[in-house]
Amino acid sequence: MSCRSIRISIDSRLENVALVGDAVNQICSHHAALDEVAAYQLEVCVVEAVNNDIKHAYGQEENHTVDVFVRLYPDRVEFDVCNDGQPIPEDKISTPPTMDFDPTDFQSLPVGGMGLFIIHEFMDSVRYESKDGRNVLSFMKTLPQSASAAM
Amino acid sequence: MNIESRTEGSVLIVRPLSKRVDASVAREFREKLEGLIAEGTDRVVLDMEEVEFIDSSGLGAIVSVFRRMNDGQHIAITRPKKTVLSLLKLTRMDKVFQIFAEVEEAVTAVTT
Repeated sequence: MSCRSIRISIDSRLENVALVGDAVNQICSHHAALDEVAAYQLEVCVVEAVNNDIKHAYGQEENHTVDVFVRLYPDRVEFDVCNDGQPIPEDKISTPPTMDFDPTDFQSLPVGGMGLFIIHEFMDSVRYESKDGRNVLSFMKTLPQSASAAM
Repeated sequence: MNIESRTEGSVLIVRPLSKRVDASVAREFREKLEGLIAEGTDRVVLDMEEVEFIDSSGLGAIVSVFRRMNDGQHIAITRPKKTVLSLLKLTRMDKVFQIFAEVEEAVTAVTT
């Protein structure tokens, strides 16, 4: 099955994340024929993963690299978001994130920790691997048939 | 990031002018929003017309400010783009905050 791919690397600064986000959105809308909302949802997943790398893996230190690999197949798009910093703690990986709160109780509303939840919800599969100092969050979305046909 | 604000009666209407409300501006956004609300209102409409992209950090900034107000009846979000609305729904924030298609509807809702 044919695959087109691109690697996008940024320095670990939050101001750079929009560059990756814009690129992913353009790839999804122009090359995978996704509509505005679907392209946004894939963009926000990549943005959340990169934000997490910068904030947590690198403790918001500059001069580290975050690599994003995008692989576009006729029927799916795959992303790998990679860093060489601190791995995600085991308990956060082993337990799927949830958004359990009482909408009427303002004090129970979450203000953080929503990134992994968003990725799990918008994507069809999510996998995390930490090996030899390299941490990779991989996720995949199956493309709708209309988008696949347009490729 | 720039934010436009005005009052209509007792309601503060806040309008972020940035197309992106993300992690790079979340803290500044939260502080500006807090500053505007601290001026003495308890009824707020957040006009999201200009915002095309929001991430969990931007959403968290909104939630953290509104959480202090303790009362969802006096808070509304208006004119969210379909993209932004999809995240509000995914995170169930559409069950927390009233969402309206027009500013005037939102103003009426938080006034009554």
